[in-house]
Amino acid sequence: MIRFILVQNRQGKTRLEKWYSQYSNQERHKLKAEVHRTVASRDQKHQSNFVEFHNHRIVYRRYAGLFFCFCIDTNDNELAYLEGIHLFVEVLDSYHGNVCELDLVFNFYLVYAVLDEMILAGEIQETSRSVILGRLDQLSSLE
Amino acid sequence: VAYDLVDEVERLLDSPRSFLRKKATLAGLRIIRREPELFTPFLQRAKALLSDKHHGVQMGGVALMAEMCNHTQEALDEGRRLVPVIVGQLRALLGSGSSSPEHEVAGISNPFLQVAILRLLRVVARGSQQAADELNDVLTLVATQTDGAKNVGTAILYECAVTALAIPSEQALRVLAINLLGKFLANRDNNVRYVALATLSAAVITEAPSVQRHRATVIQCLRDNDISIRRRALDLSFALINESNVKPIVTEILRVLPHADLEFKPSMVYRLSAAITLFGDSLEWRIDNMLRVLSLGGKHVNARDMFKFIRLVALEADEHLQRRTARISFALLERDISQEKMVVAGTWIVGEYADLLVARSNNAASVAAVPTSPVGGLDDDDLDILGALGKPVAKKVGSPSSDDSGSAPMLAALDPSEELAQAIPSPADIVRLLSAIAGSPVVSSSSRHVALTALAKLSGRFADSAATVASVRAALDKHSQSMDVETQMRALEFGKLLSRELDGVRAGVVDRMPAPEYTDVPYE
Repeated sequence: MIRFILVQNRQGKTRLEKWYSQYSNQERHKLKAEVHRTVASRDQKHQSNFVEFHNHRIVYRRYAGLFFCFCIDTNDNELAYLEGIHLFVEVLDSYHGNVCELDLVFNFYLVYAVLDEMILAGEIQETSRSVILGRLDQLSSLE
Repeated sequence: VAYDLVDEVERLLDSPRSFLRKKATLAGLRIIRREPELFTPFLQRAKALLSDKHHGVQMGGVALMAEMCNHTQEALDEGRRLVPVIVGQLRALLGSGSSSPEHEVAGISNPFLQVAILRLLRVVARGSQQAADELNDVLTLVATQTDGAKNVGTAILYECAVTALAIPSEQALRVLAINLLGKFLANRDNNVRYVALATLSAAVITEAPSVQRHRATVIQCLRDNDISIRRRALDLSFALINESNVKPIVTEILRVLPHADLEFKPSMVYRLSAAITLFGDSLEWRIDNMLRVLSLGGKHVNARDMFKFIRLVALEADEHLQRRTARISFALLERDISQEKMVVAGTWIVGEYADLLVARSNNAASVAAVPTSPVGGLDDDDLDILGALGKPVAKKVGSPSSDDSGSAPMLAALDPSEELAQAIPSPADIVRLLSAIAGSPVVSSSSRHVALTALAKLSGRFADSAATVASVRAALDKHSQSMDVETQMRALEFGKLLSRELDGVRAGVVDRMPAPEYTDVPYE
């Protein structure tokens, strides 16, 4: 299962965080800083997208100036979660139309809505882009 | 809260709206994680959930089932009964004309669901021969049919391989899985290689023969750009060593040793010594390779291994081998004295066998009788080690070189007798070397002490050459004012020993050391 999801920019500011396990506020702060330190210092060309982190693993990918990090268990399939990250970014992209960091900052509630549609309780639940986007349209029409 | 809500969740699971079912399934998952005993209502609906038309519900159902099977035996039994259903779902995904084009990624229908199902099958069939048999066909189908060109395909193939290895499957399937992983090793993507190495390391315990087939690729990964891949390749290479392949693998690792990362070196050196000792067959090969380890990684060798090596030379090697060892040590020391343990061991050897070192008369005969080691081109490796130290080496004219895999173009094969002939030193050379070591600021104090002792031994070995004895005395004298107590003490004592009065006693003192009888060596 996924333990937590973080989206951070290169300076270390967290643009999105979702916790699927019990962590205290203090622990969360520490983890965010640690994840940034670990991920930002890695060489993109020569190193893999998986890092060992405490007892878990971080699967991350860099899109423009943002690092999308999923913290998963050691016995999970990392390649599949890498695909999951890509799917998430693709959905965000088709919803916002060429999404950039500012979109995430200003429409954060929508981002969380997308995330909750895709991932629940630490497991990927919905993988169909059309279903997710259809649902989001429903939600926005309610407003 | 879990107890309160379980009824609600149960009701929602039966809802006709797929959206609600999907959420309810994952809510159930959460509940099970907290309170595994509440599985009953979920288990009853397991079959329905697993064959639900809606992919989202299926995914949730699969995850829920996997979680339940992790906790309770009943769920596991039910899971095994449901294997045909699960397999059917997987086949439906694999078949052409997939039911849901919107879940496709790169032409593969719902890869996430495929991976999740494969994972569930792993959990269910682990430990059950019957279930594993039912899975054989579908796993083979996935393995052969899925296109691994893009990451999605690779993810599915990876999950399939891991599952095939985790359950008691047929041998053919296991070999197929290992071959898949072997192919991953050659993939250009770092991630894929990393993942493959990790799984192969785990599999090597049970599937050693199949993994051996990919040994060449693993060894190539020793030089990968990514440090974590290098580390895993190193671990895997060591795990692969057995009697038959120890020579090529050790040769390769030695090639990589000079350029290896600092954090790897101590463990590499330690494991190399262990491998050489445990699997080495001929004494000559073992000594040669220990010399290489010492000269390339001497700083990191621990004292215990070094003592063992010295004991090996003193105890088991015959005179010819001792001469050879001494000659090589001398050549190595002349070129480089920065590796501490090499200096200590080498100095001891040179001092102890100095008389053999310079013996020239029976040299030609015995050298001609040396059989060139057939495996791995010993000459190339000798040169390789010197090449690694960055020193130029002479080339032999004419005869074809027997270098392995063409990776050493600048080092031509050298006849051992010629190389050794180059290095025959005179007593004066030995004194020069030893006093250089003793006087050098870069060597450790224990090296210095051993060098002084070795100098003293020379006085016995070359007792008939007055010039040599005089130069030894002079060399020792230089240290009689040393700041280090031990050095000064040794210099003065040996100096005294060399003086006229003790002529009679001296021979006995500096004679050849009896081979050590103790089998246990002191730990540093």
